[in-house]
Amino acid sequence: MGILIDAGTRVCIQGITGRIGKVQARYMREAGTCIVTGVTPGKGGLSVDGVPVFDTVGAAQEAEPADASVLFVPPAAAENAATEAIEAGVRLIVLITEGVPVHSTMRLRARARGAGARLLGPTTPGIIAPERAKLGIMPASLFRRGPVGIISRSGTLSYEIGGLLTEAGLGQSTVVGMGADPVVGTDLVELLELFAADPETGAVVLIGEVGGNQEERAAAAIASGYARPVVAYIAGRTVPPGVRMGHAGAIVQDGAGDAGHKIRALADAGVRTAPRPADVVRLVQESL
Amino acid sequence: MRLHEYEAKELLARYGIRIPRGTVAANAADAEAVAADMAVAVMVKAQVLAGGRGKAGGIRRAGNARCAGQLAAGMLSGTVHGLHPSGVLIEEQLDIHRELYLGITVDTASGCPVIMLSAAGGVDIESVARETPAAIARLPVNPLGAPTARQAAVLARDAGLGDAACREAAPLVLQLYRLFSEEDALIAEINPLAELADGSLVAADAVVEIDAASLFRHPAWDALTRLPGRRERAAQERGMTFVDLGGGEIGLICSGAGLGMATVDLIADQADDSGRPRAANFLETGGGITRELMAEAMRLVLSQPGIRGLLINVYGGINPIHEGAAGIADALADHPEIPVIAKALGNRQEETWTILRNAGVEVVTDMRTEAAVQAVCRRLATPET
Repeated sequence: MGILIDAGTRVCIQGITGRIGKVQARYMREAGTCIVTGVTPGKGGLSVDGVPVFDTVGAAQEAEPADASVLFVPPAAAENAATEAIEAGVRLIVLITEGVPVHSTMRLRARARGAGARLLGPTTPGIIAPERAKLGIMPASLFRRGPVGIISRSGTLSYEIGGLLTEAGLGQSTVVGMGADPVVGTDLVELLELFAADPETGAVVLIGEVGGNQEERAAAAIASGYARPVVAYIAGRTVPPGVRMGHAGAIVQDGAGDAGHKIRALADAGVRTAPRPADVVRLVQESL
Repeated sequence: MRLHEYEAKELLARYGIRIPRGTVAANAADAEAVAADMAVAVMVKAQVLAGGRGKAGGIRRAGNARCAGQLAAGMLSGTVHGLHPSGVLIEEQLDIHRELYLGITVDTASGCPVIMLSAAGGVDIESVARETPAAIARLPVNPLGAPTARQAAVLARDAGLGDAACREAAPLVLQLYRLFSEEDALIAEINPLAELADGSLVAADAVVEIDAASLFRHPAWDALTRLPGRRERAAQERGMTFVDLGGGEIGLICSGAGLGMATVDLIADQADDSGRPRAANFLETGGGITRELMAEAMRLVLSQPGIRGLLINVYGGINPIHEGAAGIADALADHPEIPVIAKALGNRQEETWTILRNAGVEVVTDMRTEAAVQAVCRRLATPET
């Protein structure tokens, strides 16, 4: 089980002929992903490592319907490309692209919800069901299948914490990057609900960071009753206020978005909070 | 990317919103000449990218042109909240009857724009928001549409504006929303929105922040010139983020913002009672590592005064870390004396480690970032002879 994807998930790669798309599609297949089509406007008729390329998602869906699309497109093309996937009936859209304008994301979020599709990202490393499928850019070698669900705002921190859990013999049901922008397609609370309904997931790890109030809203949801033990790590306890720390959403502004506030809110909700990334391992062991 | 007040007001005017008569002056003589031309009592307003200018002496009244020139000279030679003004805005003084507030921002929880209107505008709007939130009427907007005239009228009535003010404010709400949407603003705020004795509304002050990610749609703006320093600008030009953390001795290069922040936190945890060592900077490479980009990142970090050691913490996911390692080696050819500790894991890690070790880098293969932090602290504590 796990959430959102499994070994049978059929995947379309938008931007498959690009430098990054081509390499990442290969890594995804090595991780077990079933890639059925690729899309690059103007490159229809080509094939990349045996995957047929189409000009539009609509044409790709007619030939080989995919359940999900992973986007490796430049920021300026992201809104149109993701809209095309939504309109072609793709149910899960993984928008890897970093630097998508917030107004584009707001429109995409509204379009996806209107169509009953799920949007992950932007600025997400994607989602991996270890040893089954990977729709994203995370190094698959760090992850193994097991009982821990991970939701992360940060790509590389999910690699570190996932890798440490794997090293300790604690595999993962699904690792999902929710994206690091101020507005994302799927919220932390929604991903928590999916994990609560997954029989394979025995505990959930939240990896948060400064900025916004996703963690506070998650804390409120957990406080009102959550079906799994939750462990959290929040990055940015010591960063200066008023500065964007690399992610568009990572900024402490007018006292909001502060890491200490998030940690207190989560602790008050009964979440075990880890002072350092490596402490997550011990806390997960204690909760399982 | 936050705009200066005069830039924000030019935008408002372009969308049909009334602003006070005024002109920007770069020096005191120009300020005096502008005020003389206007031939009315004026406001002299320092153009710095910071809030709370009034309380910091950055907004003053001048009864005549000579006085305007003197105030401008004082502001331009000093600082407001530590920032040097890029100019002064000379504006007609308004006879303000009542101060309203109109703002539009992104509600990240719902993923929708939200319009806020209040009859209790002015410098204390933040305490109004905290203490009497009901005094601020709110209108969430579907990002695929726009507010209707009817919704704007209801918003104005909810804000308790009164019939005449409602008729003035409702169209203004729609104009500001058009600006917010078409200009890719993250914040568009008019505070105070001045109600004059005749009931008309004028934007007395304005804050507009444009989404830096949207500049491909708005090429006229130059975001680079607004960054505080040379290293911040050089990093931004290559898609990286550099933040000066102020006087530390450990230079930092991380792939990934969350990992970078965690590394800064772990260095702070490791510090002794005097708070040393400290991270000198935060540098996030973004997902576009190449040999050249990494060499440039190294040069930026090493160019900071007081750097005694370097910590590199990267993952090979989207980034080809073996190419980055070659860039690290390139940059170290010029800095053989500096201790460099690297943790580099993920795709092609063994190849990466070989390149780094050949360049004299201490490679940490432990997956825990604190192991790398401890390694760099050890090297700083016992300098090699």
